[in-house]
Amino acid sequence: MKTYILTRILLAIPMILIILTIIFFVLRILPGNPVMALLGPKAPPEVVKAMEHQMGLDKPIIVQYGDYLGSILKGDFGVSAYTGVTVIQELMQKFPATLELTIFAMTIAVFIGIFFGTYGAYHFGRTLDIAARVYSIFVYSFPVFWFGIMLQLIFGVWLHWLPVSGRSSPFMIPNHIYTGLYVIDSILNLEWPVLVDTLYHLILPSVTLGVVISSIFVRMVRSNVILSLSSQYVVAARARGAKEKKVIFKHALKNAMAPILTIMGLEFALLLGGAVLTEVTFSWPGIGSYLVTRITYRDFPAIQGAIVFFAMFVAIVSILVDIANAWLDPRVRY
Amino acid sequence: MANTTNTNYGNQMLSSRIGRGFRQLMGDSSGVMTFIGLILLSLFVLMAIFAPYISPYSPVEPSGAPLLSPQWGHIMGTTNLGYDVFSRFIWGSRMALLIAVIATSIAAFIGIPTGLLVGYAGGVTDRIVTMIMDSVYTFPGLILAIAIAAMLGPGVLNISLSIAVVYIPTYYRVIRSQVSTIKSELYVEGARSIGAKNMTIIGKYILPNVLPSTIVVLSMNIADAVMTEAGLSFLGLGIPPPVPDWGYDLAKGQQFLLQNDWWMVVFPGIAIILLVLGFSMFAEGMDEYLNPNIGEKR
Amino acid sequence: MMALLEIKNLSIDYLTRNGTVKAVDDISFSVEARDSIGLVGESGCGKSTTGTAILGLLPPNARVSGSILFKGRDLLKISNEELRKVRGKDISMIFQDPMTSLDPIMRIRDHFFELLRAHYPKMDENEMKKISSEALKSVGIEPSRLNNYPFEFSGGMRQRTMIALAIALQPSMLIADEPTTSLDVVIQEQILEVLRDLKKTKNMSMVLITHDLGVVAELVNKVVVMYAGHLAESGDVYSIYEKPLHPYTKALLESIPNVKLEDRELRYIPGSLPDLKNPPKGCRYWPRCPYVKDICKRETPPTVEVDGRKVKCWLYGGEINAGIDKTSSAVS
Repeated sequence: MKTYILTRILLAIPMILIILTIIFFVLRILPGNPVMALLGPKAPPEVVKAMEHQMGLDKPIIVQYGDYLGSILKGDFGVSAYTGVTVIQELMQKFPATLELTIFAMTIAVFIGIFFGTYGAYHFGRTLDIAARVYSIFVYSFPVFWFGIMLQLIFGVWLHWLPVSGRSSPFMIPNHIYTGLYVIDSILNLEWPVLVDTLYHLILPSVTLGVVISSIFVRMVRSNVILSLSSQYVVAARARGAKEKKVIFKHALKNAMAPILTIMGLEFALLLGGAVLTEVTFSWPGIGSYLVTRITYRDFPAIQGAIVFFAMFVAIVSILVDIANAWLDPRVRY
Repeated sequence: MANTTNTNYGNQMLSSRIGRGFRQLMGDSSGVMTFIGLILLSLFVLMAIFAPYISPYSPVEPSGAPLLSPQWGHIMGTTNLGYDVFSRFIWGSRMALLIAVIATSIAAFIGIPTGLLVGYAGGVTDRIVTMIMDSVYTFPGLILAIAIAAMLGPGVLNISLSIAVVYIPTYYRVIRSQVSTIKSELYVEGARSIGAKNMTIIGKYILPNVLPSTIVVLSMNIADAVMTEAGLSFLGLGIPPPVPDWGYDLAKGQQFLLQNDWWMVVFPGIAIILLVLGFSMFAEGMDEYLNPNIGEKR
Repeated sequence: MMALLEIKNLSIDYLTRNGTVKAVDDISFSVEARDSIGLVGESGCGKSTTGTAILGLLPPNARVSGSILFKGRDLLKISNEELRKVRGKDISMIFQDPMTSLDPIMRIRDHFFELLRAHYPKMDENEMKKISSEALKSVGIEPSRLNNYPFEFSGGMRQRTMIALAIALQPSMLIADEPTTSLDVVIQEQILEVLRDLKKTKNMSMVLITHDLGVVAELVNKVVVMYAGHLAESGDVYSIYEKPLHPYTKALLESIPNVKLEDRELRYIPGSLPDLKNPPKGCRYWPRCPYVKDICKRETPPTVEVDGRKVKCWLYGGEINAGIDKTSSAVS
């Protein structure tokens, strides 16, 4: 098992390296001078020169690349051209917001997926099944930001039930930050009003992202459960007198879970893309918003850092998915 | 364990998912789906071509008081600058289709030959290129496009290029996997044994075989490109205003959401959804027509 | 005395996109307590469908009519929950493919526990372990292997496990659906040995579904031969082997590979099973039958009794019997 995990980690490194390299050279080759962007077009040339030197932009590109790789290995991801703080510090400060959003969205998507998918499979061809399939087709064609805006319109503007932006109301941040996940921190601090406020703010963004992603899960759960429901061990379990609930959840769904998990891993990239749009739609202070903001400032190290960070996030999740798969399926485990 | 997600066209494609869902839902009457898709598509294409003739007002000049709600004369209302939303709805199809088609063409133009040559060559080149393509493929496409679009700056070609980068691996993967299968088929071996040149083999034997799936991937890919373009322009990385663009209009509309000016956000979104649905349904129909055996697997 | 299992006028149709498949058409037979019967025929003749129907495990597109009386209760009429309680406890079933009959991600132990909990929700774990161990031991598998996963078992062991699961609760009937077909010859013999043993030691009836008349001969005392959803012939095993009445039974017996056969030629039945969406009029066997008469092509033969056996063939049914059959088939 240990070697298995180790191999998976080693396999993830080239992917991160390739993304890093592509983005590094794309940023360097393409037009757009970051120093000019920072200082404005009227900055005196000697100031620009000094700034370029300070940021290492006057070195040959290969040296710059080497420096950047070094900074990734050191773990500081370089220094932001805009704030002067190490990029990793900024990313770590933004990351919990993104993590909280993606975890909640994923949970919502998985719940909807398992519920509709399993029942759709079980009632194959009947009304509920058709409803689930129509749902997954149409929701999938929604642009995530449009769906978010619609929810803002309905639940924020028309009904006044939920806040439409931000992660919390003013002065409603947990007193002590342990994890950066406000839900967990407010529970640890026993600050119930903060917890309620946090959840209030979480509902719309995570429902937006979760619902859009859920359409894939409905489809995948449905087709995999149909597959396992038609397998011999399900018939055999029924022949033993197993209760229908057990047959569906213990045999059919659990066996369908391994492929579903694999898909979850693959979909995670899609979820992250959606997360960036969702964060911008709801002014959610995560890495997505960070990336989009820093683009306006041409903050190269920050943009690069965010991209590499996303690549690592994707890689880590796919490793976790493989481990979970091994845990679920004894044939992989041994 | 069975894996039902392995279709030939990469399971990350928006349009293949929507389309396949439709086809399964429709069963035998999937011809209806293709037909609806075709109608939706033609509608948008006609809208784009004849925009100057059918749009009631100019999309870039005030045509009434700002922020009028939908009413006679402005059936979709007006924007904060008094632009007619309906006219922008019509003109927006131009940008959406234009960028999607250019982006898809660039991606195909790079991805297909690379897939052909690398798949045919095999060996170390194959392994290295495939690893690079796979890395890009597994990375969140939109985020990559955001980064590249941000660096390139606004403009039709720039946006198209940044979208294209995301989809090159899709073409590459489809073509490469087919080429490596066809390459070892008997008739290709035969052609090689009688001394046919590599280029002849690729052009005469391999290309015609991969062409049908290429066409399907092309038509499927456009829906994805439409969606990505909308995302980029929503983030302000698209065509600079006041060029009519649905994604940008949505972002603008969101600023006036709190005043309950819903018409600025509802209609551009519907346009995107309809166009994406149209392409997906049409592409799936094409797939069924060109590759009839694939549908039987499910 | 009432039969343990009595199947009367059982018909089963499958509704498919391209039409209705008449998989089983008006068959009747009964199984006495401690009886072992063989349900024999080519694949696709409806024998597995019949076996599966007894426990109500047919896919949802199946339409069943007639009656299946088990200890006097009609299994087609009782509620799902009542039927569930019958499964595994009164009647259990083993299947053709042992490789896929066990849930790949569940330990062997959990298969047993599932069975026991389904019927005795309050049973404690020690008791469950005891019963599972004994059941496994009775089929020749070490109880220590309860902690294994199915993939750690060979095909033969999996089928023995299936049998252990089937007999753990001492059911009065075991339905074995082609239990040896997908196993290799040596393992087949092992499984047959286990089944023979069971027959001797347990007070249990058996319905053995197979296409292999050779397998049947040594295990059962009665045989039901099916052809294309019809019951061709039924009776005790010796007389059927001795003197098959139905031309199909005859052909089936001749096609058993026999090394002693003089000509060493592999015999087979010419032609193939009819399309059950659109079965031939009259007797379903006539297109392949060497004794075909005009009436066979026009009318379904009646089921008649000859020498204490039932046979559905015009060779034995006179015009008088034909009238009787018509009334009986009108009931179904």
